[in-house]
Amino acid sequence: MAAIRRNIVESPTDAQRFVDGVLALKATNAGVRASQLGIGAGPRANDVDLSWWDLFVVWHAWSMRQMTGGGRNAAHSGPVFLPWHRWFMLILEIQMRNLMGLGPDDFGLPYWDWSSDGDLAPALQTQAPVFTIVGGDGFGNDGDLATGPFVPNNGFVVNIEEDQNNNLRVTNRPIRRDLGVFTDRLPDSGDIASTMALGVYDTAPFSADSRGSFRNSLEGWSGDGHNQVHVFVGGDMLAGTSPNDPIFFLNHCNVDRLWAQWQAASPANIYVPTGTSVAGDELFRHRSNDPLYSILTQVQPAVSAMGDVDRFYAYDSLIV
Amino acid sequence: MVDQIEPVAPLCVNPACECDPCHCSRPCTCGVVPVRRSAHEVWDPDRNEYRYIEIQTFTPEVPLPATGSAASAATGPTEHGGHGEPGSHGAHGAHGSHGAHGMAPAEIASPRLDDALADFDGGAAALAQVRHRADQANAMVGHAHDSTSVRAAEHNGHTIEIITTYELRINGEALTGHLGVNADGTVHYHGVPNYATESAIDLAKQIVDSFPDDYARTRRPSRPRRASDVDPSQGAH
Repeated sequence: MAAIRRNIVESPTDAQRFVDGVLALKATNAGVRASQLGIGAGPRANDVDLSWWDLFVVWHAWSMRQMTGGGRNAAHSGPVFLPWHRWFMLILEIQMRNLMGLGPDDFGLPYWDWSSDGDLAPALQTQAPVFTIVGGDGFGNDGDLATGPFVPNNGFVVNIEEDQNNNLRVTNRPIRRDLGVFTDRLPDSGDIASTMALGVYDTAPFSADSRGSFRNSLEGWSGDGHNQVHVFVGGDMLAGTSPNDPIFFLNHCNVDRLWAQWQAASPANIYVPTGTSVAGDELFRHRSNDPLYSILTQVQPAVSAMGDVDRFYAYDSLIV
Repeated sequence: MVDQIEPVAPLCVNPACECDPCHCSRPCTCGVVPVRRSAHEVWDPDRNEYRYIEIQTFTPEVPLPATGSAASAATGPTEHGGHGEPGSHGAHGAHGSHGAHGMAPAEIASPRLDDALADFDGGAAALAQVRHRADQANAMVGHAHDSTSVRAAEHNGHTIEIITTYELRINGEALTGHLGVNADGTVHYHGVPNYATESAIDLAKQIVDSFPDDYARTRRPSRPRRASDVDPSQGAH
């Protein structure tokens, strides 16, 4: 048995558990203040007790500060993009179950099959069913989220953000969204079909400049993929602190599903680059034996450890 | 278990050199590298002090698992520049081992996902790791945000280098995040990792629109922009 990850718009039970899990993480004080992690004051707040949810935001933002070469960081714009987010979500999923008192098979993160919404006319995409579950567009000049469960009245305020100079700081405000403002369409099924047809996990130079790379196409640098979803949602999804918006995890769970689908399609669909690198190497944290950047464990799984996670979760739908 | 200090690429501290110590754009070519005081320390030019570096712990006796696609990837041929021996990069049962310097924790890599999952307690131990990592993360924040990019290519036996430096000011104030150029000529800014545009002006407009607490909006952005207004490589993290 393993947890089943389901389409959020087809499973009301999992949708509700996801909402409950997010709010539980947000409501649970982790026991550290922002200032203790070197995060400075912002215009809206000076310091704050961080929740478990906030720690995932910080983890993601810090990963982007671990630069290697070629524009890569410890989690993005390179081969490790998919394994790192698989690890990141697995820990979040476990902590959600911990706080909700659920067993390992009782709940899997749901996914947002955004390419099915991408097949709709652009005017309809901002009205996609997922937005009735996690809230819709923002309001006012700043795009403050005022609908759905992740609003200040439910105890959900953004505590950590990045400023215009890419520094982390404390804040106290609603989630922000600008649905369909910076691009008016989601990736569609044709975009995904093109990505899935690529037979090589990654290609030199193993960066945002890679071409013919499944990873780079799915990430969205050489095709329309995950990146465009961030841009479509806008607001908090635009910055390195994008996990502030719970829709981040619905997006990445779908990305992970597509990777799992690609892996299952052929035994030849394996991770590259292989080998081991060390701090200072251009591809550090991106080779198969390298450690994934983790701030919640001392033991860090090798990139290759994320190649097979069938014992921990499975998707309700893999179209191979 | 054997603790080994990994070699760390030296950081250039030559003030006359225009390289980027974070390696994200321009590599050092000057050869001036008075960087390391000990195996645990590197020079941090932004803080003007030596900083502890993270080390890794190896247990060469622990082999990688030999089954599954992950194992086949892990035990495949090492590509250029691979260091160490494939299959020697694990630390099963090594919980609690800390770096010799006592500041940052040893970073233990395991080929077994179970080892890492068993190490996550969802409580005090995890929080202790976060505190340890903060020092490392904040040290990285201090890396130089030089907005110089070097694009290189070979053509008909000739080496091409295109060096581009940006200085971006909004309301007269210079931005300090890294702004660079991709190989295809599009422009990106680290603070809005989701965008690469063909025009630096468009990128600056996106920065203004993305930080309403820094650049107050007099109205909500009134596009929609068409998807074709931004580069197909638009991305996010």
